[in-house]
Amino acid sequence: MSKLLSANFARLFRSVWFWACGLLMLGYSLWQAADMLSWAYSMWSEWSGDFITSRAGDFAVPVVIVLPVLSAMFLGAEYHYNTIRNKIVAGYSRWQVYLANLITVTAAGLIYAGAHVLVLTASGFFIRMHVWDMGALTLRLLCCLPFILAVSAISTLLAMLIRLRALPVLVILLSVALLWLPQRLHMELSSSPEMVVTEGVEMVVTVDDKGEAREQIFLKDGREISWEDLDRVPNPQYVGEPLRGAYYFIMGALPGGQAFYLSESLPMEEGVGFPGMAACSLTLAAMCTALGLRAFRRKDLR
Amino acid sequence: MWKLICANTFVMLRSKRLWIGAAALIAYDMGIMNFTMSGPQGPGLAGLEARVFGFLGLAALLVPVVTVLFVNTDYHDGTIRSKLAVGHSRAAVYLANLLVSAFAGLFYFALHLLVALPVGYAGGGAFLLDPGELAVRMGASILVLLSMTAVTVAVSMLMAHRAVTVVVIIMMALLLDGASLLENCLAQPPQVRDVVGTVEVVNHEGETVLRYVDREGRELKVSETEMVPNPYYIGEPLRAGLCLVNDLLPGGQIFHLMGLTQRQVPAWSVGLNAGAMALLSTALGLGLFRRKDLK
Repeated sequence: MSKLLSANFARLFRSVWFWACGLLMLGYSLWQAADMLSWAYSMWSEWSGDFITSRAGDFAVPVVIVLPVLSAMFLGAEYHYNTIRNKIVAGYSRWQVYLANLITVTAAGLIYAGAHVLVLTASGFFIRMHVWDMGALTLRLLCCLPFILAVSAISTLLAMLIRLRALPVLVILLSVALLWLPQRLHMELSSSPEMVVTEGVEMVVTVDDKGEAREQIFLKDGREISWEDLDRVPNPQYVGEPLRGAYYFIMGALPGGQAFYLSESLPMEEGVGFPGMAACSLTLAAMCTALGLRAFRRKDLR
Repeated sequence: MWKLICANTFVMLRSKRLWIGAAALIAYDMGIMNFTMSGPQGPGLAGLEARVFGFLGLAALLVPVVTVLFVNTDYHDGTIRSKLAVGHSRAAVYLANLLVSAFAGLFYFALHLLVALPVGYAGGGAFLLDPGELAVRMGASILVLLSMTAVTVAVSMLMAHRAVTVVVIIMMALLLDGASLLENCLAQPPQVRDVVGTVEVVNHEGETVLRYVDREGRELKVSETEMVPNPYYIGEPLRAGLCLVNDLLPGGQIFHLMGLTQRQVPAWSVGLNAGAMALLSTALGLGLFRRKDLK
């Protein structure tokens, strides 16, 4: 199997797709680093602390799209040029071929993640206010490892089993759906359980001499009331249990939601938490790999 | 060439991708899938027009994907050399692919109208534009579809590699995002008020007014502020150039017809630009295809 891996890595590093995707990821990392530097040096920011850890997982969102596309093009070439049959004929078993491909795709994901962390770390040296917290950074990166493995497992499963020219289109659509779903669920979960009745009241915001804004609520007869005095009714848009728990589970279990949690684009409120996410990712990776191995063993490689 | 068109039409009608795309379009029109597009916020379309011309956002990905998969089949199966071997000219092969791809785009537009209009009417919608303007917009939309198809066919006929699907998707994503970015940049006003922040306040008459605050949060009177040149404003001649680029490329044309731009460009102008783009890309694609080595 070491020969398989050597061949795969040699082909990976010569592959235009690996470098093109790497360039995209590097561009994204540089953009995030520039945003971090801009925030650090903005006139409003006098905060001193760890700038890097919260951005360490930023690579996760583009990886959900980039890794499946890379896998589709890189592994799909084996079907296109029929090299997969040559590997079987040379004496390698199907599970060896599959696992070698999985390891290669995972390595590509780790390389992209590593490059992102390198860019961020290098940028950290230019921020005077940055406080290095290697423990927190290491912990965050450890949480990203199962995520990369899960995305790699899904990408390898699709690329090894689907032999269509439209596979890149399918994986892009799947990736977009995986990223769209948690945003939609988060929007649904953002509704509050009750909503205030503002009909018949007047809300006025005034700014005093000190520049502080103050909100006042007046009834029609001119009496001032407080926010707590307003009537409340149940919000029909509110998502209650058990659906609420299911939504949070879906967001934490699937790679799309995990990408947003790792990049802190969505707040981790009542979700599964990072340990739960890691467990879900490892389970997903194991299931996809087991399914992929089983299906690939039966696949007709004509 | 008639035989080529018949053969291509047969292949297109028998392909699963055409009908999967049709199913996705019907699901979108029935409101099952609710896509949102980020872009410049302008005086958007209202009424049934929003539903009719909102199709262009989905078509910007659906039509190129179906087209590129259809055209790339010729290279994948080796049928393109067979067509030339039996005596068809390269121009005939190119134009037959273009025609059938255009028919597919028109088929999707017709299907969209068949589904979206009854759904819209059932929801109480109505057309707000006058019939003449509506007809011109419809014509312009058809020309924009043709423009997208022509660009996609040109790229697909010139690139035999199976990676052409990814290239076309990236190209369309860049066209749409680039158009959005350009329109946002062009929407910057020439002057801005020299203030640090603003706050919206509801006064005692119930009106929402804008108040200006300085860095310490103290409210400033309008007379204490002044208008200064906006550093982000794009002046001439770059402005004219960028407007022309956005008006010629399919991405910008789609945003104009969907009413998502602050710049008001007449629909007939959009249609003319789309037609010109279709002719230009076809001429360029055909010229390069004639010289291409079909190994």
